[in-house]
Amino acid sequence: MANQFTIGVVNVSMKHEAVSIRDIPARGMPEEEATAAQPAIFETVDGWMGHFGFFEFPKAGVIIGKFHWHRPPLVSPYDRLKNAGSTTVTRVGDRWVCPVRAMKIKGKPWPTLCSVTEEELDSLVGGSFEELVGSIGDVTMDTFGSLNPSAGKNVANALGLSVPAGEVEPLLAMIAVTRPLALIKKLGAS
Amino acid sequence: MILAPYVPRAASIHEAVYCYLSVERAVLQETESAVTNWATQYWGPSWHHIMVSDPLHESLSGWDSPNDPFYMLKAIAKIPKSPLRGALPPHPHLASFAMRVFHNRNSWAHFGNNQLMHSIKNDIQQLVVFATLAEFDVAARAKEAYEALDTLTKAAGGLVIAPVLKVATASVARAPETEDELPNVPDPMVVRPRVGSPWESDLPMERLELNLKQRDLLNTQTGQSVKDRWPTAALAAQVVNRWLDLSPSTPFVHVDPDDGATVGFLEGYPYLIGYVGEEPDSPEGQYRGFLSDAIYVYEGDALATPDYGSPLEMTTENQQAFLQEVKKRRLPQGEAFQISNYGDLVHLSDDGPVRVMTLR
Repeated sequence: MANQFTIGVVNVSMKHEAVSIRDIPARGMPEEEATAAQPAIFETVDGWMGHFGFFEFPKAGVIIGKFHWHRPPLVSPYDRLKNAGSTTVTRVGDRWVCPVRAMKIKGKPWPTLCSVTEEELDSLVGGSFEELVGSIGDVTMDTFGSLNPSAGKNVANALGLSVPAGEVEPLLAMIAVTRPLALIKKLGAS
Repeated sequence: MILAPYVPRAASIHEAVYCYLSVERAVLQETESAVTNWATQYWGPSWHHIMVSDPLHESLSGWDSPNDPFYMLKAIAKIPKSPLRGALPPHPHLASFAMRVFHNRNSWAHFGNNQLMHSIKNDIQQLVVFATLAEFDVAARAKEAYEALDTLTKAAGGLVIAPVLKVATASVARAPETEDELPNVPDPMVVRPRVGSPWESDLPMERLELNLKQRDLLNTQTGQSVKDRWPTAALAAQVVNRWLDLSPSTPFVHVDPDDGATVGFLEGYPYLIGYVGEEPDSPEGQYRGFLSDAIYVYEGDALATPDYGSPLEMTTENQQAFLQEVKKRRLPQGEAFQISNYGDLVHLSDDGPVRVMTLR
């Protein structure tokens, strides 16, 4: 499996040393110790560095993918990733399922996490997004609702990715495209 | 004549220290005149001789000069049945504040006080409350001085106070010239102040980030943990947690590459908060870190708060070690203690704070 890959101007390298944080899994929930077994370092040529992990919260029973550290000074456009851009991973059988959303300018003057079309993803990659993530691992891309039967109605029709549990590389590639790359390319700005 | 307390004009530690010292001086002077006047009326000119020969006042040995307010305050604070308490109004909390004021005075007189802004303000406020309960004339001016400092520091609290310090130049970070020359050998000439003291020289060169979520100390350029600079992971975690518990006002600390001395900002002011890696031994009896506000009094064979008598929870080992120390040092019942954020148990002696042991 690839330990390091580059998508556009974003470089992703995996670390094999677990990282633990004390954090809340979601607003209003109690703080607990969460661990990411395979954290990754995202870097761009303009000097941004963010540490990312899929953190398993044992008490809340959820997995949250998020940037937990940025190299100071954290400047625009990456500063949005300090408080936005995290993702929830759902366990479905022996697979992890994750909605595909991207940082997009829509409704607000600044980018927020929004649902995106396959065309938008392809335009970010400059090719086929599905092929890109598929080249990194065993990935199924479909509507989130068909990958995760318990998905709520409002997200069921959005896109989702499914990977074997714990195989984070394709998900990291998805994060690279939909977070830093989407911010750099100003997705949604006319 | 009693000099009026100094009303501070700027939110600096220096002004706060001066304010405390001037309030303390005024309150002690009025204690002296109140006790002397009252005692002279009651017992006549030989009152001092009567007082020192009273067996109740055994612990006041050394009271040679009749107008020494230190012993008057000590009697009011620590000898419940002392007739000298009659010099002041019979307020139920007066003795408890007298005790605070007495211990603070001893800590300050021997440079062992917490020099955090909130601690200095607390110490001044206790003087104000004591003076108010004692119905001293100086109480109003003391209160005015305290309120001026409180207003200044509250307004400044929202600002980032620019330290008048600059980062040290690169000379300390030069590469070793030969292979024999080991880096990180502490310079024996550098004598560090006590951990917990305000930092008064240039900020050390290396800047690291105390990360609250990861509860770790990180390189600001790579995000890598620097915990491996400590001999053990457990020690590293202990130190990092201790620093996080201080709630520093910025997450960045400045570390001296030679000996690991670490400067952190508390309430916007720089302090030596400890060391990255192995910490040099402290002189015998010197405590490390910052004292908690709670005071515990030695009673029976345990420590308890003087006001409510709530006992200090200690492990059996700690309690036994404590009793041994008390015996060895011949400390009488009623002596007061505080605990630092290093777990140092500190005896508030008449000669300032003394580390007795470290709680484990």
